[in-house]
Amino acid sequence: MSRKRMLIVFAAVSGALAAFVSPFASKFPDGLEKVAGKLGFVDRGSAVLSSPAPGYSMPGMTGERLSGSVAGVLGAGIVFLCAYLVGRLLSSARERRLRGDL
Amino acid sequence: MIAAAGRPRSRAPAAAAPFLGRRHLHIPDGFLDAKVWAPAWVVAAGAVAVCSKKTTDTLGQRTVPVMGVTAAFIFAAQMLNFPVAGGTSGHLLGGAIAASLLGPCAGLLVITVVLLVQCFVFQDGGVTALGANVVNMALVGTAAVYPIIWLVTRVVHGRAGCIAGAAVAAWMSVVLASFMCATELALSGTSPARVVIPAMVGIHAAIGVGEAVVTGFLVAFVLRTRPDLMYASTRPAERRSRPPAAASRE
Repeated sequence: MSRKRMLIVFAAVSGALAAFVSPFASKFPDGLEKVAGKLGFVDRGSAVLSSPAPGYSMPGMTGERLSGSVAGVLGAGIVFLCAYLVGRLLSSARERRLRGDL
Repeated sequence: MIAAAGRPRSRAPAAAAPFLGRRHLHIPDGFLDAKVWAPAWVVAAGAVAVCSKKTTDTLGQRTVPVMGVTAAFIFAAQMLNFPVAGGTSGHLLGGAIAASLLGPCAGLLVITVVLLVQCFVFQDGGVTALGANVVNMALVGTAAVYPIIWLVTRVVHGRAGCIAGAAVAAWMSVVLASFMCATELALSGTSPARVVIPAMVGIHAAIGVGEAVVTGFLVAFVLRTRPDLMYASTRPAERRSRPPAAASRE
C-alpha cells in the first residue's frame, strides 16, 4: 500500500467510525463522570462558553443518532484541517529557515 | 446524581446544562479552582510553545498529512465509548498512538488540536479547564509517555519492541492522565485526595487495558503496512530532520 493510499484509508476509517459507529457508542457515564457522580461533585460542572454543537449533537437537528453522526463527521473534518494547517505552518517555517541557513 | 451523570447526550443545548462532557478525563468548567486552572493554562501554553519550536526543527512536509489524519482518527476514536465494568464507559485517549506515530512534540500538538476543537465546537471539556486538559492528556498523556516507548524499543528490538512500548505507554498514558486529573480536583478542593485519586486511577487502570490493546493492534498494523509512517520506528535521518549543517548551529 502506498503511503498516500494508507493515509486515505485511515481518513476514511475515521470518517466511518464517526458516522456509523459513534451513534452506537455506550451511553454509560465515562470515568470522570462516574467518579464525579459517586463522590457528589458532578453538579459543579458548568460551561462558561456555549458552543455551536454542544454534546456532539447538531443544533436544530432532530434524531439523536443522525445528529451525532453529522457532528462526528464534521468534527473529524475540522480536526483534520486544523492539525493539517498547524503542520503546514510549522513545516513551512522550517523550510524557510533552512533556506535562510544554507 | 449518577442518573444525572448518565443522561443521554441528546439533552445538550442551553449553556445552563451542567455537565456536557462525555469524554473521560475531559474536565468541564466548575470542577477546578482558579488557583489550579490558571497555572495549568500557563504550563499548557508553555508546552505548546516548546513543542511548536521543536516540531519546527524536525517536521518534514511528508509528516503534515499524517498529523491531520492522526488527529481525525483520534477525534473519531474518542467518540466511541465502550462499556467497562460497573455501568461506566471508557474510550480511546490516543496519546500513545499520537506519540508512536508522530513523536512527543508533534503528538502533543495533535492532541491539543483535538482538545481545542472538542472544547470550542462541542463543549466537551471546559474553557477554563482547557489548560488542565492539555496538561493531562497532551503533555502527560502523550509527550511524557514517549520516553516509555523509546526505552522499550531500546530493550526489545524491532517490531515487537515498538508494539510493546506503545501498549505499555498507552496504559501509562491513561493512568497518569487520570492521576493528574484527580490531583487537580483534589487541589481545587472539589473532592478529598484520598477519595478521588484512588477512584479515578482505579477506574482508569481498567480503561487503560482497552487503550493498550487497541494501541498495540494499531501500531502492529501500521508497522506491517507502512512502517515509515511511524516516528517510533524510524531513525532521525529518515524523518527528514535538519541536515547536519543546520543541526550543528545549536
